[in-house]
Amino acid sequence: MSALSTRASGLDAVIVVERPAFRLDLALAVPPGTVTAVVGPNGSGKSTTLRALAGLLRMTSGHIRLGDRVLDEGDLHVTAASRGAGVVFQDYLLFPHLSALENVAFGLHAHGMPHKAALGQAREWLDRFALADFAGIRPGQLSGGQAQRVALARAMVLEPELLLLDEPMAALDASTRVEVRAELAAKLRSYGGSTVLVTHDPTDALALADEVVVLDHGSVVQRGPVRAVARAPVNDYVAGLFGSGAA
Amino acid sequence: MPKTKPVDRRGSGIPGILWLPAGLGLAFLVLPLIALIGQVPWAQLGSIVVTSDVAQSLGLSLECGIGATIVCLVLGVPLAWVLARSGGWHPVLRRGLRALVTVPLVMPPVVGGIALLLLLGRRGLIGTYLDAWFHIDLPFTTPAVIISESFVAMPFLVLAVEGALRAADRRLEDAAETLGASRWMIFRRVTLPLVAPGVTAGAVLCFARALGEFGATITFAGNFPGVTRTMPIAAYLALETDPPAAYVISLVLLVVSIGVLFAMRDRWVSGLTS
Repeated sequence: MSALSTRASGLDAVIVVERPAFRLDLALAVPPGTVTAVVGPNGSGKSTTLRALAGLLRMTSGHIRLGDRVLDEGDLHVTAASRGAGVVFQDYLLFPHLSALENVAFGLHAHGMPHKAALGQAREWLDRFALADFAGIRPGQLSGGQAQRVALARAMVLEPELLLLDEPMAALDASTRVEVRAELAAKLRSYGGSTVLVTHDPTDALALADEVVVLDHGSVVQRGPVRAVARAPVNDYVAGLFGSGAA
Repeated sequence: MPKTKPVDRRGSGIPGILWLPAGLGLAFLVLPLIALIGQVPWAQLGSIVVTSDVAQSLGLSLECGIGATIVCLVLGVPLAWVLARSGGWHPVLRRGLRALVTVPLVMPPVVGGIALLLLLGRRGLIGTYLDAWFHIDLPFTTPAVIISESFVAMPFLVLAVEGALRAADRRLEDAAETLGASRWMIFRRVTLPLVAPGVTAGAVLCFARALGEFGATITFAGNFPGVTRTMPIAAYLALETDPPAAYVISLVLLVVSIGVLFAMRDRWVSGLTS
């Protein structure tokens, strides 16, 4: 088998997590430069998927490979700190005691970059994300959209091959959501790595993703290109999901 | 006529019969302080501080209080950390650990002093070896004062920091981890700054408790002027020989306590300790 397999590219994962009365079983293949959305209701296993990919949770079985790196397989487990997945958490989880600039520089510090160089590089990313004016501001004073951009900059400054977004729109109010979503879509289009987006809102999937995986109770209900899934839902559950969201 | 102000219709709801004991209770707490302030020889305040050993005991008290606070910070913050993160342990172990930490809080300080003597005294459990191997004899020295104060004050710091750690959002540590931070870096750059207000509050409480320490100190460290005679001990002794000096020392201690209360006002007076 291994002799025949060609060099893998992007994210290749089979995620199996078993808990009492719950089993998540999900295969994901996300080529570089594409976005896969994992859509499902609360308790469907979305967050577990994300935590497993980020290395914050050990899987029961399965594997996670990224390019030619093996991150999880059998006894092998690369810790969250060393696997280098960029994560934009739900609520963004910016460090409240650090300025926007220091938040973005945090990962560079953690990777041993000297203070000045890290701040310089973080500042470049803030500029790129139109956040230059907010460098010295604490997260508490940022708007939802700004906080999301800082969180994205903080994750992307390390130039990860894998970007994970956990409900990136959930913390935003409805009035800014459309605009912020469009901005995020543009940023994801220009990103060269594999992106996995977890959301309960199919609108996010339609706007941001190439492929969609619909998850329910830990199992895949339907998968495919976003528009194909929206157009031809396999059952009422998926139809309801996209029917209500695809406005 | 009903009142024109939009008052809560329930009013205060305090039964009339409670007013008398409530007022007596308040008077019971406040009148002694008024009596003390009334007796302070304000005119000779300066000269008493300079001439008697008030200044000496004040200096020693501050030195030992700060020392004890540092000891409590260095040992207590990690201990609070372990306590706060012991959620996965067996409940018996977890509760037992917390009970052990709380014991000095409820135990008579004199008992603490005797216990320290039996541990660190010349014939004590550890003191025997300290004496035999290093010729270290701790009882009745200034370090003994710091040890006594730390023993009594540490629970204040541990419980304050533990509360702050429990309230801190652990998902921020996940975020730091995905950015490549080591555990030590997460502790130093994320968690510690997040709980800094709790650490400060704990340190202030700890210092206040250390400053007022009497029982454990006089038992384990004794009463040597300039070496172990801290302010509370000096005040107690001066009451027999030089009452005005005792009043002055008491006033100083009272002012420090009120200062602590002031520093803690947001946490305690407004009832936001949880």
